[in-house]
Amino acid sequence: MGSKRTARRRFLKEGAALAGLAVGVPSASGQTLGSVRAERPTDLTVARSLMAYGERARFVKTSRFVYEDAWDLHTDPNGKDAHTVLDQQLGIITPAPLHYIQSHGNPPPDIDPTQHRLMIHGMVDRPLVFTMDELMRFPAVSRIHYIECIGNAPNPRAKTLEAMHGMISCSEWNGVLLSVLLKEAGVRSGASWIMAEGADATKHGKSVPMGKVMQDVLVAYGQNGEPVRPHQGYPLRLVVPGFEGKYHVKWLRGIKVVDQPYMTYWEQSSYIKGENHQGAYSPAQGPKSVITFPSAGQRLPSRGFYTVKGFAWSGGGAVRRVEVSTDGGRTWNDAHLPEQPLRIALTRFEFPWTWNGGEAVLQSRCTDDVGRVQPSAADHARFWGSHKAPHGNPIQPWRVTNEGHVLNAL
Amino acid sequence: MRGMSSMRCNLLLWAMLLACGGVAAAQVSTYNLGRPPSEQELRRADSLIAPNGEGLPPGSGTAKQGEVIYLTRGCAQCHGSTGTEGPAPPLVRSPAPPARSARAETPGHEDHPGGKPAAGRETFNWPFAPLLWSWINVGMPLNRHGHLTPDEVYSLTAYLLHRNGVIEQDDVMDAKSLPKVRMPNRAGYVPPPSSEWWKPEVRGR
Repeated sequence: MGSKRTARRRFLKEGAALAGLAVGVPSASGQTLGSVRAERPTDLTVARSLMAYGERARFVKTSRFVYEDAWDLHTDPNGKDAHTVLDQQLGIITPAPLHYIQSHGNPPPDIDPTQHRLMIHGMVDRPLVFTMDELMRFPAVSRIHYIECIGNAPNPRAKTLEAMHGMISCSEWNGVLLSVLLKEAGVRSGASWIMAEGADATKHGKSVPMGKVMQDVLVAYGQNGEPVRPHQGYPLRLVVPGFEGKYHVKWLRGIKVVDQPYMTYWEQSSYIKGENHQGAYSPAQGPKSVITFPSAGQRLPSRGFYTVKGFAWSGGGAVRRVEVSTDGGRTWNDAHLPEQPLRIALTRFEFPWTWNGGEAVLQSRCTDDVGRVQPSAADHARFWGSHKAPHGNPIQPWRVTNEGHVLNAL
Repeated sequence: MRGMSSMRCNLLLWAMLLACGGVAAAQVSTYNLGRPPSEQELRRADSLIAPNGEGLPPGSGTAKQGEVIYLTRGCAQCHGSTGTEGPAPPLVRSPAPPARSARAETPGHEDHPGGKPAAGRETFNWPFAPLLWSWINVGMPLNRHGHLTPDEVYSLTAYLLHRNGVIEQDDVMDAKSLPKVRMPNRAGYVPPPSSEWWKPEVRGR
């Protein structure tokens, strides 16, 4: 398996050079490799390699938006942030190569799965160390859940969909329930939290309350049918459904069972009092939705019929209802939910709309099955004490101009 | 519960406690997978320090000792010679506002959360002093966990606390004294919540 991978990597390198030569286009232009690749490989090795691990059509160029600066303290280019492009996503599953990346500047550690261990320790009767093979021998579960960064939020100053809504992705996560592993170790009475620890440069750690852990927290080794990708935590990550993205500890190597939150570097902001104290300490994300078509940066070519499309989700459960307004929030109508909404997963919605060529403000509003309703920007700011507060789930309005340009209406 | 008689309340509580105890006692390994950790593995895991200082190792240091370590062991290279220059996040409270990051200037991405200085993470904002020790110990210098000895981490912690006006230059920081340091922004944090806090229906957001 290892030699095959090496061969593929070598091919990609040489193939890129060859393709660049053949067409006379420098491949460093930022365009995808596919844009300069020959229509169909004639070389036997190349063809075989593509048959062994497929590539997308050369006409498809969807790619993440990679931030060039990202986290001043790091210099490793592999630690940059990348936002997904929700308006290009077809269906609720985000392809793993397009999953948003936010690792606080840390490049993915290069972990050999045969050497990787998960240790469960602290307030347990039997501290245990598991190999990847052993973890895979436990009964497995597969769950479709979104993961969203706490910083993903509408913003009056931003101009594009991916800038404000590019840090959410949805995957099928495959792995073992943490509750099963903790039962093996025997949780002692008095234990009320876990402290999960990653193997990255700064040992990213997060405290998760035991109630949540026993409910649905997953130790995942699979993502969309293949091993979790390096930027997503290969070979092992925590999935804490509905909690802020930073709780989903990547490159997971330790679970310490404890009796208090550890308030680590990256979780401290969760405990800070805002102007409004209701805001503090609440990592479960509220109901949210966004229209992805039409959205900021796009342009409607002509008046007439369009299917307004978007995604809704909630950290509290399943989406129960999505409403759409095309008149700036004066009137609301139920959107169509083409599929049965899944718990804590992206949910598609659609709404038929005929553009008459005039100015219009489009927005969507999500209600989850707990009964919570997505707030307006003003309500959100009132609740949290600031529009820059965490949990950026206010309604996102888009303005369609007379010329069909779509702009951020905040 | 408010409507219940106190007796019924007590009975319920006892029943719950017994049930929990029963479950804990009955917990046995089902799959017999995994092995006990080695001494070395448990020692490594001990580097996780609780806010109350639980887990702090033996050792000590002062701000005076810390200044030398700060300048000679790599800290100054990223954080600047006085802890304010960067490019890495400022460690010492500075009156000047931080410069806007390059991200904030990216067209269409102005004011992205990642482009702002991380509020609450600077030295003077930490709620408990042992957390500062813990972060320096596991995170600094980047990718070089174990580079600094416990004495050096205590010294650096003392240096940063002193530079931010929290302790005196000659105060000795160790496993006993560090948890007692009162951080200036302690009141800016909420206390740890009950185990029910995370439930969305409780938050009612």
